Amino acid sequence: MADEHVDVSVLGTLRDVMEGEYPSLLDVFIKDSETRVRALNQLIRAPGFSVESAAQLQPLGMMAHSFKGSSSNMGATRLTELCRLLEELARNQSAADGAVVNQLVQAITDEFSVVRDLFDVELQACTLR
Amino acid sequence: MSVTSNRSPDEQQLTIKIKGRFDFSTHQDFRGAYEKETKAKRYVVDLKETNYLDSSALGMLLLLRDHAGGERADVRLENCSADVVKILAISNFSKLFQIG
Amino acid sequence: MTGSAPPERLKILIADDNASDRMLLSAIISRQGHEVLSASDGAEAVALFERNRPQLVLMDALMPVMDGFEAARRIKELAGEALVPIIFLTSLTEGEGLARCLDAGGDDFVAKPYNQGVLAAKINAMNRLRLLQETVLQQRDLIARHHKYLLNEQRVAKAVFDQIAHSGCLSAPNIRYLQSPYALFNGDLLLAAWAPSGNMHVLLGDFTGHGLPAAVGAMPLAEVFYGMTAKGYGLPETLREMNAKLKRILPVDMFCCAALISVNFKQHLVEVWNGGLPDGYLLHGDGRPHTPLVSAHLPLGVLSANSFDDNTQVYPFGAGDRVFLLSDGVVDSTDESGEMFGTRRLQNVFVSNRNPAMLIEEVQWALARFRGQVRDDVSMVEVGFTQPELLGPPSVIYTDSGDSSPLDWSASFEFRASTLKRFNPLPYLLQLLQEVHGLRLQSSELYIVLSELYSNALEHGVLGLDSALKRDAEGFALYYQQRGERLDALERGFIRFNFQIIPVGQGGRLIVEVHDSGSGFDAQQVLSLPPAVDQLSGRGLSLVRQLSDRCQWSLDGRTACVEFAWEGLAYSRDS
Repeated sequence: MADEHVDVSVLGTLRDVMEGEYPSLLDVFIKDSETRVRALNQLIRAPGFSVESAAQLQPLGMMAHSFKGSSSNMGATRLTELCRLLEELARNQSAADGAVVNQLVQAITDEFSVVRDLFDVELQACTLR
Repeated sequence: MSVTSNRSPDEQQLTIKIKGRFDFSTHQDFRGAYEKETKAKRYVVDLKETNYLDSSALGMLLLLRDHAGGERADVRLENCSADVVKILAISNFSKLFQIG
Repeated sequence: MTGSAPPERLKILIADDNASDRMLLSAIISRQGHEVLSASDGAEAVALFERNRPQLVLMDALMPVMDGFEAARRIKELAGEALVPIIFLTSLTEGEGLARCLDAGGDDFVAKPYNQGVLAAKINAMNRLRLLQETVLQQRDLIARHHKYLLNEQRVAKAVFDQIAHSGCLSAPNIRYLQSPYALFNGDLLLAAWAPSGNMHVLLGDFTGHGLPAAVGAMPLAEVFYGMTAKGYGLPETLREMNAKLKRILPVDMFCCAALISVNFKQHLVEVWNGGLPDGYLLHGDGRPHTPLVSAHLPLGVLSANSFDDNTQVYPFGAGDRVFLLSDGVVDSTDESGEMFGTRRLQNVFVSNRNPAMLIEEVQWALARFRGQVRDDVSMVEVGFTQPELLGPPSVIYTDSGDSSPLDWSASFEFRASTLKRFNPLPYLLQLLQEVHGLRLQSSELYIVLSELYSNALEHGVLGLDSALKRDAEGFALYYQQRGERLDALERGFIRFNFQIIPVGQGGRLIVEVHDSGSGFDAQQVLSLPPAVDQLSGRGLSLVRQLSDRCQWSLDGRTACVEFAWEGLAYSRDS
């Protein structure tokens, strides 16, 4: 289960609940998440960003938390887990390691790409149904 | 406080038993015990498990007596404790009810 | 009751900064049949709440602009007394996060990813709580409104009653009493009034029930008491009338326990009737132990007129003696363990009392010591003896204008056995005589003299009682017992009254003859005895002589003749 990019049973439930609005939901998630991923990257690449600073870790943690939430609702299992790890790291300042943070953000970025592609396929499948 | 009643086999007597305080809160239940009774000629109120009667209880006894025929009524108050007897004595209810 | 019944359509506010989450949640909630309001941050949530007043809120904890905690706090504040459940949407797992939710006023949590079943269950549960709170508040407001009306009704009733109650003489110097200002609404009634004979009537009553039902019975009772006392009726007639009135107007289960006394200062006796009140006490000034005045009758308003027992007890009553009456609030006061104050403690207060003026206070202190706090339905009254001259003049009430007055007439009455048994003619005769305005200033003296002559005619003449019996307390009791027995058994006999009103100049003269069918007595002999001030009998005739203008008896003692004169009423006479 943890290896899954997208849990198809969740998608099934979403399709059921959203009915005609299902494609719109997928679309909103994708666009919203693109913004989030961009913001995440911008944050850690900003000059002067340091994991030593609690003031800077906090927004990082909140972004991760928020992304974790929306990913979980969409059944993006791996993405959810990655966000959770980042959130925990950001909360635990003493264990924060700049390198690990960068790695996680990269992993999140990459995983999201995969999910986005899968959802694009799903969207197209919808228009054909 | 609770009110129970039962009829004698020949339906001539209705016995109403009061448990606990005989006061204003007993009103509805007490009335309900005899209201629909039409056949009984004698009424008995069993006060064995009552230790307290207030003036509204005396009023309820008067209502029962009224239902049972007023001046012609045959209503007995049974198993009265010493405290209850005292209360009945001050109000001279022995002139209206047989007390035992 | 299963919770699966379809819920009412609620207005639900959702707040989540995640666009897709918001969309999803909105769809889930709408599908469950509710109306959805959507906010993307805390500030928007508060604004939407204020404008639309949804019944339930689903709030994400961490949001930009204003986070969920702050928004929740503000929404709870806006909601006031009403319960608007707030369910936090959070995947915060540590205890601290959850504690923050509760602190902010959150009522429950739901984790992401959203589970439709869990959401539906929680919304239903929260809704039930919300409705419960709503019901409680409505009922509370209803009760508060009714309570206000009730208090107002009682205020009005009390004002009306105070007008009636204060026409009496409770402020007379020989009366001391304790009564709570809201005694009326505990059913306690205390009345005192002068009779035209100079007697004083006092009534202590205790109605069943509380509040207005108790107060409402008190007013007609007071009217009868004052009316009849003022007209000169004695205790038996007044009691019969009060009982009949209450029996007629009160429901079957309502009645009035009462004690009624009539103090005769001139003849040194007190007449007592107690129906349903705890024992009163006759406290003696000479150190003899107190005499209990026991309840021997059913309360007023229970028996029909023909079953009612108006028999009274008569006791000697002189200097230093007092009658003490009390309501059941005194002896029934209980302490924390449920033990009652009781008659023994009360009687201890009597025994240890040294200063008579402090008796009522001492009873109060004893109650307070026993209980820590005195009930407000404790009523006590103490009626003492004083020399008649020290009491105020009884006030007589006239209802006519006084313009026309009959001045020249005569009338005769004969009251025979069966009438004598149950009828006291004096109030009627006095009413008749009061039509003569010139006699009004002497109506007390008239009443006393006529009462004297009538009771002599009845008791010594028709019933043949020996007043020598009334020498001591036992003799007293025996005398009145015999009086009752002989009156009940009376079959023959009569008393005749003859009145003559004759004008004399501007004024006039009243001549009364009272004749009885008895065997007579040696009037000369009785009149020649020195006026026995301390004896209980024999006072009557000298009183008659004192109060009338002229009096004489026939040789056989069966006819008494008295005269009253008055002058023209050109200027008022102070009396």
